[in-house]
Amino acid sequence: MIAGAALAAWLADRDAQKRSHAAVEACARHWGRQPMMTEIERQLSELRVRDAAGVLQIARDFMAKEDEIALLMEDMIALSAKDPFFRPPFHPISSEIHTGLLLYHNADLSIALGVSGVDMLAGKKAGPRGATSIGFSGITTLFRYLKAGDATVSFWEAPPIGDHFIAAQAGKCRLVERRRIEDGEEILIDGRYQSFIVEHAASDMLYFQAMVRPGAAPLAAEYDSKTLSFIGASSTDEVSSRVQMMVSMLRTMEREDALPLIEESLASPHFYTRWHIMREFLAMDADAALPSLRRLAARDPHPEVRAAAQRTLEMFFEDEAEAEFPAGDVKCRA
Amino acid sequence: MKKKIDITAVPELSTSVGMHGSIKQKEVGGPLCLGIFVAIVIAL
Repeated sequence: MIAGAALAAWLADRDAQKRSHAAVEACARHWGRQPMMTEIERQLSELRVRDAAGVLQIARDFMAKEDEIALLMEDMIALSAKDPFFRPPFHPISSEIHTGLLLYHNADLSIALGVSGVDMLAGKKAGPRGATSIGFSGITTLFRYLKAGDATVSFWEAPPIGDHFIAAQAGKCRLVERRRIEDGEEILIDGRYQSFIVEHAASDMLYFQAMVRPGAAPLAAEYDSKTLSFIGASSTDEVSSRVQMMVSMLRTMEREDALPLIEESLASPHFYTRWHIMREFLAMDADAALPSLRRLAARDPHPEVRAAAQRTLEMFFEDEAEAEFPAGDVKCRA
Repeated sequence: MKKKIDITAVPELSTSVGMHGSIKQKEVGGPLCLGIFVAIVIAL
């Protein structure tokens, strides 16, 4: 943060602000035209099959352009030295233990360059600590450590997260191995069942991180680091989460004219989204929702959705439930 | 009159899945901007 007289002077000087903004825009234009950036766009647009393997190779190609990326960093350092109010034209990403820049982002691939400072790591480790967890992102992630910081890393695995994930069957995660990583090492993590933990580092860790979304699991899972048991899940799909929120909002606003859209959104590939929408649908217009509820009860691919739908039929549509599932049928209860 | 059901009375799934980015992974600081997050934890 730049405070004090320099900030006051910059805020009072419109021309200085314009110069700062112009430098950011010029930097963005310049680097947006460089082969490093145009090549990745071209490769992704020409990809015939948008699968994890293809996108992963494109990420590797980008990360191999170390010289060009070094030039980019040098340029931004020089511009920052020239004008303290210059901001790199890349989205900043940071947490308590790392800071970085998002160099590339689209729906299939995000590539960041970041550093985990040894002081940040030590501060975190030495500070007050509550329960800790091991996260399985559900997404294929490629790390390339330009500087590995002489770090010791432990690798973990859990039962694979599939489309029909059931919390009660999530089991436990387990330690696979613990070892030091080297400068230049590449670590590929299939977040559907793999994760890793940095246990110790002697110096700063500088690394690329590429998140490859095709083929991602529907959710990320989290395991307790002491008991190694499953403790929670969250969606990996931002779009479906937004749809869920919008459907809830439409129900709250009593927008019954949106019912056709809500019914359409029941086609979500994610089981948790389908049931979230069905609950909202029932709260808006139970009669209109009934045909879809019957369909979920009979044919939804996820057993918990089928069971919840069958139970809902029993609870609120007694006659329907009897017709759909005559006495004597075995029902799976949620 | 349309039949409406109290949403709180409708069964929920046993497998609860939070919204995208809703899990604040302990030690890491939670999912970062634009869905980027570093799936690492500093162990004891």
